[in-house]
Amino acid sequence: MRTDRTGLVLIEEAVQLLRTAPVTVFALYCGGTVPFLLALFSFCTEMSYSRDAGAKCAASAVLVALAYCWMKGLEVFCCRELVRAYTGNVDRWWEPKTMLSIWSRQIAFQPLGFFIRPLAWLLLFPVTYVSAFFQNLTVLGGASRKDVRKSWELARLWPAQNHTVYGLLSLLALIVFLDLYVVTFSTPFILKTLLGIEGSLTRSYTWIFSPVLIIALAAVAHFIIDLLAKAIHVIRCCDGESQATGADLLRRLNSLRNPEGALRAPK
Amino acid sequence: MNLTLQRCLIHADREAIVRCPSCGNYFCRECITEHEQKFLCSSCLQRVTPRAEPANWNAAWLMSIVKMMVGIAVAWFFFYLIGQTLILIPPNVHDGGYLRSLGQ
Repeated sequence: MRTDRTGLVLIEEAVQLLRTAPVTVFALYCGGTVPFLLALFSFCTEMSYSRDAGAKCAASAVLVALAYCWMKGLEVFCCRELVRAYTGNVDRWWEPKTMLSIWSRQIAFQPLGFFIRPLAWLLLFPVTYVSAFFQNLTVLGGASRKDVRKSWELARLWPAQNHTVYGLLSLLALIVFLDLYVVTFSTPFILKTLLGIEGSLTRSYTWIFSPVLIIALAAVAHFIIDLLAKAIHVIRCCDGESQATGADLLRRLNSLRNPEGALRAPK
Repeated sequence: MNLTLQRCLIHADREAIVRCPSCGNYFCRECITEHEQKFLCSSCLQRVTPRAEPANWNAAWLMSIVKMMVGIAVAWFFFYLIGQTLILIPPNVHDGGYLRSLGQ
């Protein structure tokens, strides 16, 4: 475990962790995120353009809320697999009782973030702690009652590193959002210039300021960066727990015995 | 009393190796177990270990279901607010009509 690690080094390690992670991690993440994004886009489009949006709003919001709950469960399983890739410890999260326990705890706690995070943003300083708490809860799973308290304790660990990471991730999210925006805006016009394909998108440019498009691109940018944020919190949680258990020393010993595992072990 | 002279309460033919701090009886290595850094006999262990009451288990699950319902309701309320906000935005903002009117 390295406590002197800067935010940038931690992000690099997280990228390395994602590169060595098994395909299950990405499958679980997409399995939760894609249905939620589709449900969200459908909901936003319906609320923006449908004539009877007011009557459908309550019922449609239920579907999005359920898709959100589904996503939160799968994000935990994705993080469990990331923990396995990082530490080598096998966590039997696929047992029905454990899955149910994780899902119930996530559904109970994660939606509170919708209202607590904006409040933390208003006060500015605690936002990194609050965001880290919800990410840690996803990493730890919440199958045990102690996980909530442990999530908060780990969120307060290495605050300078946490603030740096959140600053860099916010900047990265903004860059990804602008990239997606430019690609979405330019693609129809490039197709028109190169191939002569003309459609409603090329006749007018006003659609690029549509609130639905902005929400959709912001959501996609968020979920692209969120996987990196999860990998970062997996490393932080595992290293934070190692302070009490010494598991990082055992991992380093194992990596010395087994050179194949050296890439995954913390240096 | 000297421990080496004692016999197990349950197995009279065996030497006692430990005295249960709870009941004070002597036991052999088979009849004793460690619990929270203390050696206890099986009857004392049963007494100190809390049994999972079926009623409590049901109550815990009921509580989990209630918390889940509250969580889903909070998520629903958030998305409902987003929906209502989108409905409040005038239609000419969604279709870019306000930009065209600005240009004219």
